[in-house]
Amino acid sequence: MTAAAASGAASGDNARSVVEPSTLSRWLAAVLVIGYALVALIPLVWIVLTGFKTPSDAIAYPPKVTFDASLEGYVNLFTNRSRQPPEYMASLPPAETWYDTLVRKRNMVITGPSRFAGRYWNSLIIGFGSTFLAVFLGTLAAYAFSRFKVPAKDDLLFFILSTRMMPPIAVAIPIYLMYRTLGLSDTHLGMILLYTAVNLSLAVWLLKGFMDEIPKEYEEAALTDGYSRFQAFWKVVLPQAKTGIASTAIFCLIFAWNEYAFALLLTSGRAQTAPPFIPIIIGEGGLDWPAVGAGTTLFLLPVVIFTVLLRKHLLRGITFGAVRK
Amino acid sequence: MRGVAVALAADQGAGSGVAKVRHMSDRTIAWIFIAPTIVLLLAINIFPLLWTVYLSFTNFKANRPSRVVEWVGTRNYERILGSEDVWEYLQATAHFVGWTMFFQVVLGFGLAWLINRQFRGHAIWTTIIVLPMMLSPAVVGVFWTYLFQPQAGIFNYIVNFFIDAGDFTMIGDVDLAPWAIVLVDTWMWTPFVMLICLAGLRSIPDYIYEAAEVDRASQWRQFWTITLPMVMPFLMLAVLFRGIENFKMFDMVVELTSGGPGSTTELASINLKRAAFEKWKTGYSSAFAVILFVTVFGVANIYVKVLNKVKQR
Amino acid sequence: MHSLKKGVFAAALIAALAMFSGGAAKAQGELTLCWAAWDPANALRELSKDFTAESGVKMNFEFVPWTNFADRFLNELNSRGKLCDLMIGDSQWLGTAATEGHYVKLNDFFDKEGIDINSFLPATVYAYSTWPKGTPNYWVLPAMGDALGWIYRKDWFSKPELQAEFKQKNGYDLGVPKNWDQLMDIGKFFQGREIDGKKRYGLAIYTERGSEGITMGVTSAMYAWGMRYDDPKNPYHMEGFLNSADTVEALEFYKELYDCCTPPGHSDAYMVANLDAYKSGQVAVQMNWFAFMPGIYKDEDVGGEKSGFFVNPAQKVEASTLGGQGISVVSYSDKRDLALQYIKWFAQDEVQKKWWSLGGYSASRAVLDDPNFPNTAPFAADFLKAMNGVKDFWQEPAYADLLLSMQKRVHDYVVAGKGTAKEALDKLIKDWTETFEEEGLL
Repeated sequence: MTAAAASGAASGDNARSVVEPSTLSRWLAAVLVIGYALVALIPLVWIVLTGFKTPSDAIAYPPKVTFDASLEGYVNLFTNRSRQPPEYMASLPPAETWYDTLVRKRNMVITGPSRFAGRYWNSLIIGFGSTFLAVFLGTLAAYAFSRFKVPAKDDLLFFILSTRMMPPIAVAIPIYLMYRTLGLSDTHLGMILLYTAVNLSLAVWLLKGFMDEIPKEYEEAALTDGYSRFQAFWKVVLPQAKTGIASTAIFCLIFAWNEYAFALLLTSGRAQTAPPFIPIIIGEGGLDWPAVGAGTTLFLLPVVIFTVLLRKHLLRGITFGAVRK
Repeated sequence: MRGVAVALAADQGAGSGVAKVRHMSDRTIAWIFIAPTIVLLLAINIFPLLWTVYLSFTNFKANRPSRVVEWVGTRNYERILGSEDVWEYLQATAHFVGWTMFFQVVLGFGLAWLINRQFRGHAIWTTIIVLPMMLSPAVVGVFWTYLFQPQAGIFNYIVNFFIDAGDFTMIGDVDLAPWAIVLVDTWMWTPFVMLICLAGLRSIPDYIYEAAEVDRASQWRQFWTITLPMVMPFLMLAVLFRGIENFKMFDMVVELTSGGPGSTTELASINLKRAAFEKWKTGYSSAFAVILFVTVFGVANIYVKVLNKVKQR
Repeated sequence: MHSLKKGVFAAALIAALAMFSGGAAKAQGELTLCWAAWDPANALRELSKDFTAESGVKMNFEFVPWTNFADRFLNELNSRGKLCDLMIGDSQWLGTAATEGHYVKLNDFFDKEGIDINSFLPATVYAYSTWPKGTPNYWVLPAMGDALGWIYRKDWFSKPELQAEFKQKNGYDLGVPKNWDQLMDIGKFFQGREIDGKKRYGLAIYTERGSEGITMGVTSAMYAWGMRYDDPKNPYHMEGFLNSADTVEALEFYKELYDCCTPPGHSDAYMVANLDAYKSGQVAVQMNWFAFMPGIYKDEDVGGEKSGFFVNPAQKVEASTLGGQGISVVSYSDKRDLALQYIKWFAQDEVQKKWWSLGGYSASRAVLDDPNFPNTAPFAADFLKAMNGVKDFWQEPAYADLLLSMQKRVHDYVVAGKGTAKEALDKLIKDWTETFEEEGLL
């Protein structure tokens, strides 16, 4: 450790030579951080595990840490079932699929698919659709704010930021009335527009920060070479803003994907996303906890995958634009 | 940089000189780029806000369009500002915002500082810590009701493992419920504060520390005079974001406690939703919404000014 | 990054396509019926198979859990949604639905098809169907009669050692309580008692904050104490009625029950939470709608002879909280005629009889007036008794306002222990007076 430190100092590079923390302090840090991570992980692990329990195991007292895994939660999530008397069950032809067999063990038959798949699909459309739109419009606007002298620029920027300060419920009141009049209630288009508008403030702000970081020299070189402003934007600036765009996209997606209040109040059968659906998956008694667990797990996956793939950009995204005004 | 030059060279088509004639001017582009954003925001944020302000002076009920709507002046505002119940909701909100900020700052900064020691594998553990943030707050609320169940939930189980706390109910007890919502929100959003602080810590150039070492400043001193002040703008920013979000908090708490027991965890947004979409007192709730917005706007404004001063230091 | 861009563009394309595809138009010959998700709804699904067989019309169902039922479907009606053709809405929605034109008025239809509204129990016609109250304007066909009743563990009550101990402690036999005092004795007796190796608790009562739970629970006590909402000679004047000494006593009693005799964590319980607590063997007695009794009776764990049922005990007066709903045609539906066909089918005596046999509480006199009715199920006689003394909450168009105010005041006092019962009721009167003034009724 000391040799490396010494050579680092000697070579004068920016390695954290003199200020490198000692092994002991690193160990301590590791223990504390890993400890926190494990504790914080417990609730999440528990709910994912619950997705694989049977409904009775899920409400066992005391809570079962070891149990026989079952896919009932997932089957319950995707189907509607009804309980039948044993005579009826006996009169049915043998079950064909594995999920039919599973359901019949409980003296129930599948009456049809549940709404979960539809809600998930809506989440995909509305989530990704509004993210795309917010990032697209946001990039354009951010570039303009960054490069051009826009009249009342600071005021406009603050106005854009302040749109984020209204509680969603408050925004929902007039939007509800507006959409009712315009026939946008419970439509994908309506929700995409709404989420885009809400995300735009964050998107413009973050992206402007990124754009500000990109030196103007590149475009100026392109312009003097005869490129139009638009071409300079498209060919020179955009590729350099990839990181910023990616991280902005992550934030926009997380918001739109997980949003609840607007989805609850402004949608019903057609355009409702998954978050209002998962908390009301009722089993035969109270909530069907394995189904809720299964739904939570499945709903978490796209966001986690998206984020893990782009995790490096997440960190950059939080800092830029935010601190630089 | 080379890549850019190559791209430009390969694409020489426009010829030199008078580009303005064939291409749109800067001003046009600026307006085309900004217009859609402004229009969308005007349509979906500003126009509705103005409408809300208008509604706040009426007794409109959205579920009774056939009823005659009357102008009632400031009656809604008077009712709200004079209502003890509203002050209780604001108090519950303030308790929530205050304590979540406190815990998230302490834990978030602490974690960031520890992670910055860069022990082996820290990147993976960082990603793991960030996971709770990815969940939908409404779904988090509902499954924490499961975790908090006195009999079937693991929270009681684990707590009773360490201390004998008996049969308590986190979300059913008047004294515990406000802390339950603080706990769950802290669990969810500490990673966010941590990420921002981490970015802040990483932005401190090494040469400053090196200079301090040369001056023989102790670790403790370095922390107070270098680390903390330089992370402060980031920290304040995290507090601003989280503070605004928690003031507006609705989904997680409504799923976790329904605002109960009684109204001990009924935050401002929950009451607003009840007034607006259950009682359908549209005029009244518009006034409440305006009051909330003005409060956040005012406080945020002051805070941002302070933040800017801190950044300049 | 290229793949990311492609992914994003693909997503955008999908989104664009979806936006313009809109919602798929419903095929002709299909109806959607909206109700709450509970046992009777499943029974109705079964029953409706007959309708489909007869008419060829496919029935779709939109069942939403009770906690979200009012929110979701009132929202649907307010937004003039076309999701529901038929709606089985709560009785309290009647005022709003009639005044705002959400439901189709059924008078002409009844006349044309020869459906006699008086073939349904008068209490249900009055409560579910008429608006303004008591006038011959019918908006709804009574579909499901219901009231708040009680279910108990007959097997535990039959244990000789428990009977002996109870008799010694309280001086009377352990059995169906004749009044609320006895109910509390029972609650206290079972609270914390170990039976068959596990700790049990006394009563599961309604304490739900979000929609209507605790109000329904508390009013079952208040009605039993003879509560009147307002002065019969001076409507909407509540002082001295809503906060009369009796009503205050009833409210205090309910709080005492909550404090002494409920399981831990029972602070936000409504129908399913009570069912859970009962079926899992946590409590000896639960308060719940008659609608659930067929399901309990058939249950694997607590059914058959293990469970008994009783009507809401009287204290000063015999009264029960009214539940139940009627079926109506949503006026925004594109398929009114088809929907009316369903109603015509549903109103038939044979269908009503089958409805009862499947577990749906028919309100038809063809079923209820039958001399054999009390023998058709262990809870049938109690059901009739309950329906003879039902009282309902307000049905004014502003009912939601009134209900939610009561939810808050009552939950604040009973569960959160804020203030006294009298203070809670005084505040409630203040809230309601404000509402009535806004409505122009005061």
